[in-house]
Amino acid sequence: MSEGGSVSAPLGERAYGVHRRLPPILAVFELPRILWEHRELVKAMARRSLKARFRGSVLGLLWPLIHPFCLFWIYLFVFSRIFPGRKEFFAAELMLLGDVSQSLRENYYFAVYLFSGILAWTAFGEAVHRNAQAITGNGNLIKKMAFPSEVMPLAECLATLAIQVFGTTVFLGFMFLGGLWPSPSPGQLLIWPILLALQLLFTYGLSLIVGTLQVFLRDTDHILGVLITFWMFLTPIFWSVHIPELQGYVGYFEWNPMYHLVQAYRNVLIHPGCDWLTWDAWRPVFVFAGIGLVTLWLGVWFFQSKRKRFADEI
Amino acid sequence: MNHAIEVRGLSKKYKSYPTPGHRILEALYLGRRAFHREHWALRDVGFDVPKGSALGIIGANGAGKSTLMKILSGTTFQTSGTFACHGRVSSMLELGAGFHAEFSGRENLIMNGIMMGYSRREMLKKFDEIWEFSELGGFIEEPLRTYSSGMAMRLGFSVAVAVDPEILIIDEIFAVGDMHFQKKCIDKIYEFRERGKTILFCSHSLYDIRQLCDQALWVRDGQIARYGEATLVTNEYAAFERSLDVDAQAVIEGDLPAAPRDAREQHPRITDVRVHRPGSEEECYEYSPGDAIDVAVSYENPDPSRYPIHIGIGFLRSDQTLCVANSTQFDGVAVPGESGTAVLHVPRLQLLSGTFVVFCVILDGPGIHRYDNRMAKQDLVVLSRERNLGLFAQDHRWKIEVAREGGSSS
Repeated sequence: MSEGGSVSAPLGERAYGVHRRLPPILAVFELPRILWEHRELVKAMARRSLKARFRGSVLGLLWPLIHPFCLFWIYLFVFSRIFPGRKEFFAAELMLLGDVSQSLRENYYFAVYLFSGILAWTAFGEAVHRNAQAITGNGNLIKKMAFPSEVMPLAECLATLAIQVFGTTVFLGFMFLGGLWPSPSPGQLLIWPILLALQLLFTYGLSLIVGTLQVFLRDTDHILGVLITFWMFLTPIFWSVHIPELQGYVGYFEWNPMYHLVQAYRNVLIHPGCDWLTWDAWRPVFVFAGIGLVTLWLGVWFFQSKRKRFADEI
Repeated sequence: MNHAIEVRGLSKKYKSYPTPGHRILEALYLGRRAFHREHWALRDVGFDVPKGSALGIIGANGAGKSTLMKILSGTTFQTSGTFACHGRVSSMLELGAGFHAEFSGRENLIMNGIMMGYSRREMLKKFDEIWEFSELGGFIEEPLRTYSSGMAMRLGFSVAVAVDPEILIIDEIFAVGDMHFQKKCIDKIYEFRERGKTILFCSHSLYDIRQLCDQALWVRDGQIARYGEATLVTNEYAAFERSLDVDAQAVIEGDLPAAPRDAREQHPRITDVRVHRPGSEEECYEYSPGDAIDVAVSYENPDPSRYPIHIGIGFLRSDQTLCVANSTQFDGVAVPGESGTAVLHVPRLQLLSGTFVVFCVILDGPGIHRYDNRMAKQDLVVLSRERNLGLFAQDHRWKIEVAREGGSSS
């Protein structure tokens, strides 16, 4: 008889049920194996999550393309006509893109700058917020099927990541339209998938935490709604770290994981002269990778230590 | 290994908090103070299920059946104890648990299969077979929200039985679809049995349990009340359920009006009722169908000439159904003397499993009024050791006539 009621005989390829060996604190090390065993499920769930968002709409999967397309023009309109001021503070950022002496060009670059940050943020914020419901919203599955529950937050993360990829395609289109592409060397785009992967680690780790918290504290979802908005404005998406008034606080930005991610994305996407042979270019990537891995470890630990109680609490 | 499932000392405790705030409070106290109520859904449950057999699980609502099923299927976890399932387990706790209303029957079918551990390719291969079984026809392409609940269930069942597990855990999901489809479901489960799969089957239908299962497990208040041959356990359970609301006295007194009493006089009365086996003086209340049984009623009748009496003995099932009653009046037997004992001798008890109240009455001469009545000290428990159903055994035999082939041979 095996300990703790695990299934003693091998489950075979059709692992209805999940075979776990490691204690929660180390569970992160068997996460790849579990996810690999359930890769079909991960794939199907992510696909379903993505499809479910656009199911029933006429334009369907065109929406993840239409949405960023419209968003870009809105930024361009708003920040050139409605709030045209203070762009000089972004000069350092925009100059990286090219000559900003023309107002139209400056506005266009500004929209590109905003867009580069918002892409990652939207995917991150949406995935974390949605995943607050990853466990509680799938009560039926958790309670009625021997279901590897860690798959659900991952599927959501992957679905939002896919939307980000759609969005980035549109973004690159606008870069091209603005004459900014292929001025960042196409080679540096190879780093982009790495950033996506790191973003996934961090997002997934955080998702596991909020998803678990929500099981025991149903206020998590609401608290998160406020926190994510606040966090977004703490991250240099709509502002630049070069704004003179903020120079005293730059040290604090370092504590914001998303600051590093957004910096890294900008280095890759809109920083044509970025020298990838310098540490400065890689620093945000490595810092964020470190944070991402720690977050994932904490997330898996927390999730696994509470997992057995999910079915009883939802 | 002869056992497919081994369960040892399985217990499950649930905590319930009066409000969500109490949970926070308890967390803040770091376990030094409890703010929850504890409820043991299962307590020290242990049993073995032999390979290839079918075990039925019965019990009232909230007895812990579903908790047991959930623990064995791995959706919830025990507080203490261990269990082992030797072989691939598939459980049907709820049909269509993972269905999504916006997706078509086809998409849901395949998704459900993947959730059960199949690959997409395997599901595509099995698709036609499952689709055919579900009898959904063209509806398979429609979104699930357009389905009637019966259709959704049919789809759920069809996917669920497509798996090929060694151990099948089924939690009461038989009332699926119309009569025709229900039969298909049952047949499918039989087929699993025939193929030597181990089945754990939870149901309120004692009929299904008796039909399908070799053994039955009766769970009461989170503990095993009885574990054994399915017919015996279900019979006992049925008897127990009936006895929960018994008021035999009221039935007897309601049926027969009391004789007018004169306080100055002594009326006939019953002094004792004894139930025993013939030839034994020791009282006994447990029998099997076919046993001989004596019910002895001792009576006193101070003035037999003025009050001629008759004695009646009845067997009342605990749900107050009068099963059989015999009286000296009907049978033309006189009950003379100032005191005596009337013995009803039943050479072969024909009652089947159940709990019965044995009641005795002293009636007046015409059998209209009741002088006295008394119940036997205990209820009579009849336990059938054979497979049978119903209230009583009847003599019977079978004769089968096979219809002739209609001259098709040439």
